[in-house]
Amino acid sequence: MSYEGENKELLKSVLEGTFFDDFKNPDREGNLFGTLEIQLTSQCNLKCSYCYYSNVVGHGKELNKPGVATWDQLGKNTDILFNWLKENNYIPKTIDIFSGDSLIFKQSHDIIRKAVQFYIDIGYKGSVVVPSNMSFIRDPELVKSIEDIIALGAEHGVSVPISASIDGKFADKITRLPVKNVDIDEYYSDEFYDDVFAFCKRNHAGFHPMISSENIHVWKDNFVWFQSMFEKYDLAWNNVYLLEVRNEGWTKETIKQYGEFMSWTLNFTYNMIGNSVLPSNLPKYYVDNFVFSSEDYRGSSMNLFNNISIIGRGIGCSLQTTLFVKMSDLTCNSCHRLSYDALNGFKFVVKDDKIIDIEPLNITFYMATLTFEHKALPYCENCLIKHLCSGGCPGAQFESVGDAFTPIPSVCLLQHMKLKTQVEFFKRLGVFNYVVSKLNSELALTMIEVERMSNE
Amino acid sequence: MNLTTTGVAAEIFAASWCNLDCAYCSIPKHNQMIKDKHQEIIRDIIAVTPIINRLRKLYEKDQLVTISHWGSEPTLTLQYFDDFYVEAVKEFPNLNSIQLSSNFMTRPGIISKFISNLPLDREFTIDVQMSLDGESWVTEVNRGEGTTIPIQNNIVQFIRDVNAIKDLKHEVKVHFKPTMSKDQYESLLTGDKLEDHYRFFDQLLIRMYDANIDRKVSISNDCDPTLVCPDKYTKRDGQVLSEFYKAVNELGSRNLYKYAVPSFSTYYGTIDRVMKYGNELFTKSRMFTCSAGDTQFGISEYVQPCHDTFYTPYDEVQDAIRNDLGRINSSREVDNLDSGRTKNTKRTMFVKIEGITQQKMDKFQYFMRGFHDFYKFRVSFAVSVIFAMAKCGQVNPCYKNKDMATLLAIFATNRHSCLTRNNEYTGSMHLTDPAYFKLFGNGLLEQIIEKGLSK
Repeated sequence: MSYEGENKELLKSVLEGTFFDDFKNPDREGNLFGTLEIQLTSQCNLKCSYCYYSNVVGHGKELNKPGVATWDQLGKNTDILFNWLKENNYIPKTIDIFSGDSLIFKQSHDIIRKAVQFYIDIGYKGSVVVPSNMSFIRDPELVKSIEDIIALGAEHGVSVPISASIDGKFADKITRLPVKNVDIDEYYSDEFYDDVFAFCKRNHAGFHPMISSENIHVWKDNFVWFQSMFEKYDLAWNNVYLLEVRNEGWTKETIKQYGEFMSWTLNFTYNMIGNSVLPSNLPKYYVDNFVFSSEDYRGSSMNLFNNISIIGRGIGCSLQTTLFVKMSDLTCNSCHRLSYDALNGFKFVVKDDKIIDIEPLNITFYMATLTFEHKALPYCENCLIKHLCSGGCPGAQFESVGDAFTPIPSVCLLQHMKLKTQVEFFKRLGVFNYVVSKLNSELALTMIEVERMSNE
Repeated sequence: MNLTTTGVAAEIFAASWCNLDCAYCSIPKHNQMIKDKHQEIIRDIIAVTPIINRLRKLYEKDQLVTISHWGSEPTLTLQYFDDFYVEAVKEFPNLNSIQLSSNFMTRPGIISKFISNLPLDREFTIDVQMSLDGESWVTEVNRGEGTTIPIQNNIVQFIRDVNAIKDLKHEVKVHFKPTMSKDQYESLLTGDKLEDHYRFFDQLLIRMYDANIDRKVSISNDCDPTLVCPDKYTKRDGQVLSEFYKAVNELGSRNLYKYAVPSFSTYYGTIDRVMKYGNELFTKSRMFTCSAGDTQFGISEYVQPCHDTFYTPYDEVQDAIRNDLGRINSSREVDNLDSGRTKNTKRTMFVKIEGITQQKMDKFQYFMRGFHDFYKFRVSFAVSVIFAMAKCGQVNPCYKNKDMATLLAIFATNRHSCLTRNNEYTGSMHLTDPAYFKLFGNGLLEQIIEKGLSK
């Protein structure tokens, strides 16, 4: 067999043992590789400061060149991919729609509808997840269009969760500027946010703002604003997923600000929970139900303790559990942020509008991302907090350090700050030993050591 | 300002042009840029200070020990280095080692004259690698017609010339570097070709020893062929290499030759080293990596890990790679260019020395140390791929066993821990090309382990 033939054989064997196997058994217990992420376009109306996908400030031009595929082509490739899934009885539990922004283009609604229809056709109650910067809210036709799709899904048990990527009233004006030159106060008006929250209330959408080095200084005000909006729209106070941007750019000063914000936020959550729990029971209740998320809080601790949770894969993000496909050319990469041509994993081969084969590209890199354990990476290998660190972002590391597996030093400092803040918080509450008792030995020893060092 | 504290060796871009165009060479010869660059290098050598200043910026004064001449054919510029070394010994008090690799297609007198002109107030060790691939059916396919005899004659003449140097203070060492493609390896297993390969070198060694009248040259007898790396190795190539290893060892046990010793000892040496020092693999992993970007740097107008990337920064050479597709592995090189992996290598592995700052160097060093000081990820990646290969029969079934897979991973990552090639071919310097797992995991490593156990 030729070198190329052997690469194909190896790739098929790996895919059949992972994604394809779980796609065949979507409801099997322990299904790990059940997500399909399709990437439509990198085009977006915003130029967020931390966005790698932006063609204005990020690496968008290299990641997914705008104009390489028309909407017609994207629609056609979607049909080709979904037909292939059907022919092989492959059922992803979730289909993520990824792009610059998926909902500002009418054409992308057609593709989202195709994803919902795919589940309806095969009679499976899957999820079609759509993150959006919510700019579509300014266009009633687009709002109606997506709500029609949500309703169509709901009729057949297919959920279409929208994830609202807004950073908040105070942060948006810093980090999420429009590409077009507009009056920013008018653009991010109170009416805009009212419409967004009303939509999210109607459609059970969550919020995932980004905490970045550029906007950290306003985050306390921003968080308070989020809470006021949650109250106004009768949404749960923890209906927000706080995600730190793990790009380079964090400085000593901004990491300090982050620590202060984290400390303040942790106190806030404790007080919120304290409103409904007897004071004597509160500390342990907080640990049991919020630090280690329970149904009492819809399993959401706002991502504040993601580093403490145990995951069954090598990195906290979904990189190792998601089959990522660029719909412009049906190329598969490790994830959206690693979708550089240099790192293309493989490609679906199409003939007469049918997928007939797969063509290996850089399968070495693909297999590496599929199998690595972040605690074993260079520098992380010997790091004290590796067991209580959520890890860096391989894409950001590729862009910044030049190697996807080598951490960004300033992000390491950020992770240290997060843990230090948590340890201090647990000590303030008098639950440090209780938290430690709930951790496995590796995590517990790390936390004890961090606590000891913070005393010295 | 000395920007590294670890550097003891410098590989300098000493020549850009070559008088040969070998089939496996990664440098495309048909472009004007490398001719122009060659002239620029000569001007820098004659001017002395440009290269000295680069070294002075990067290396601690007392720490630079070795300078090696790389690029293409270093003997094409050797005659211009006399003044450079006069200055270099003043600047670097512990500099005492010079290395170069030659195709011996230029007049051998150039090297011996270079040696005799070296400053007399310093005792140097000069290590010369002799690139000769084997009998004419190998050498002339790889290096061009009519090369075999002149190379042999020039090598012998060089030994003679060194012996003729009066009051030679320096130690001169020579060793062969025969390189073969996978097809040539397979051919060696047919008929008497393997015996003839070693006989060819044995006869040359006899002539070399005869010319070494005053024993002024220390001659290494090793003439085992080395494989073209990287290349598209398959399971079948691994099986051939295993057969080859067996055949070489059987041949070695027959004591047929006066000097040549068929042994393939380099492979056994790797596992022997791992066995001896294996408990330090994860604590001092730099003991097991090559020196590129650790104790040694490639020096052109850029600082870089080693000589391997001397041509990478130049767009003209990359254009030439696309047009010069007759070379072994050129299709994969084009893929590296088209995919952007070469561009990423340019971005991460080079710092322009003019205007270099400690901050830029620190970033470069942070990147490099990630390779040299950490091993767990490299080996765990290799193990996971070896398992996947064993599952679909691309390596022997014994590698389904975790310990065996780990041993193969350690062996392969130690044999081929080339950070620049890894970066170019896989997108990360930590990822060894899985082709090597097939090369070593189809019988070769098992034989080496058996040999080790019997010892």
